[in-house]
Amino acid sequence: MDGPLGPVMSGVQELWRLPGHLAETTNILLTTDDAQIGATPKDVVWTHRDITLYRYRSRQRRYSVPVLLVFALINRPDIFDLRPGHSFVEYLVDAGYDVFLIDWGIPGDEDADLGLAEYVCDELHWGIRETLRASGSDEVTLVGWCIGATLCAIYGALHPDGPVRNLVLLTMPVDTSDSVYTTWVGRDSFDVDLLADTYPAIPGGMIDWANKLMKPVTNYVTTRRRLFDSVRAGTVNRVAYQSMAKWVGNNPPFPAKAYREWITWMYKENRLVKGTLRLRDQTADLGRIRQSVLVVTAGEDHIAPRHSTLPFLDLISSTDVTHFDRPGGHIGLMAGSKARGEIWPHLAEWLEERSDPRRTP
Amino acid sequence: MSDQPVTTAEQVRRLYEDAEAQAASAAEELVSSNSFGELLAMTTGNIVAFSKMAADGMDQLLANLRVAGRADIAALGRQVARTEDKLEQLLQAIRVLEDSVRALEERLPPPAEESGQGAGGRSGTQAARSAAARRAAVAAAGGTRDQSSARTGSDQ
Repeated sequence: MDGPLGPVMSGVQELWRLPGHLAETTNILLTTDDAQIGATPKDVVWTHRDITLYRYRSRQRRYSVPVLLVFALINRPDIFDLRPGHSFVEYLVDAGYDVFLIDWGIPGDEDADLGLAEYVCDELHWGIRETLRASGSDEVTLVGWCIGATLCAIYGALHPDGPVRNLVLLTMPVDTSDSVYTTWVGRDSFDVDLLADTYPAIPGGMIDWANKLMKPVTNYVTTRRRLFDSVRAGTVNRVAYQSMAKWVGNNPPFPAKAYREWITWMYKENRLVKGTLRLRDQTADLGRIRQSVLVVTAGEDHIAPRHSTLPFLDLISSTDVTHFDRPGGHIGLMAGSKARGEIWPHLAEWLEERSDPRRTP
Repeated sequence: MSDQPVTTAEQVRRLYEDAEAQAASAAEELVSSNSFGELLAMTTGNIVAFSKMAADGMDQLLANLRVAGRADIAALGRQVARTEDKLEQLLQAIRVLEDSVRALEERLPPPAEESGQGAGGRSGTQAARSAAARRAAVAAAGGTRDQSSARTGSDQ
């Protein structure tokens, strides 16, 4: 708009459009729960308590080594299958992999006795067993993310000669000696026992609040402001925003025993990197990991920063080790708008070389 | 592009974004400090202790009213979970046995006198049996959902 009144008219126009933009932003925020996530067709293979092993339907399996996806104990594993057209699961299935996912479920008070040993030595072990049986394979690729990656690494260390052929570890916390979490929960004054004794299942909202508190302005203000900006600019991707927001807002409880052990062993005592983490009288010595390993770190990850993952590379004995360091956050790395073009193809390429072609009968 | 005049609204927006970025940076520095960690730990402890007192009081009230509280329901859930654990261990044992039987079947040599009889002979039967065992194993893996439902049903 030219002329001396141009800026004024432009301002008036902005003001005129403001109620519409505010209404649309509010509508997006209020209807977030309607978003469809985790939509790829799947079948239940095995269940135990709240834990479910799913297998994704496929008609074009090209590789004999199945892929088992393992997510963290906080948040839901739907992030692997965020929305149609932007789903890592869909991507792997289309690439010809036999894809399984272990869903830790929504633990209740009765699951307070589930600790790290139960998750790694029982549930993950059984999940792998059922994956092998269902796929008819002798080997499996474990893809772990966040705490799920740590659980996979521990499993790999406990079963170096087991069926795990490849370990793909995404944004994995290992050495917690220098992290904001340790500043909060690693100190003596943080009474993890009081918390675990009070709540049989630590409320998911509490853990989510702590996660968001690490970047309070970004999480509570900037995200919504950016949404409003994109509505104003007419570039908003409603489906993308809502699917991610719905996933972020779904926080299952953390079983008390697992929470106590995770905080104490990982943050207060840093046992994994010191080689003193023991599950069922067996030391989870990372030096025993001999599988092919792919470690992915994210440059702007504040939950499992790169420097907390890198010591892992020096501790393992694998001869086939690859490290991808990419820009992005803890979740955005694998689920952000650039993941499909910049991360997933590299993961698939790495996997392809380490997953035997399926023999046709 | 650079010749275009910047509107007042645009200037305000940029100022706000700068302020937000500075606030974000300051907040991140604040929450990563030791003093904030100490405050957070103390506050968490106080909130949890208070919530424990409130929950204990509520449980006492419900117990006096002869109404099942959360802990009672959780205890029932634990019993169900324990039963399911035992059944899972049983399933585990069955899986191991199935694997052992299958391995034995695969290791057994075909009888010499019938080994040349082709697919219709004893060796063919044995191969079919082995394949059937494999199929049964895979089917068992796929059928666990039903077994699990049955478990839960019988537990209740």
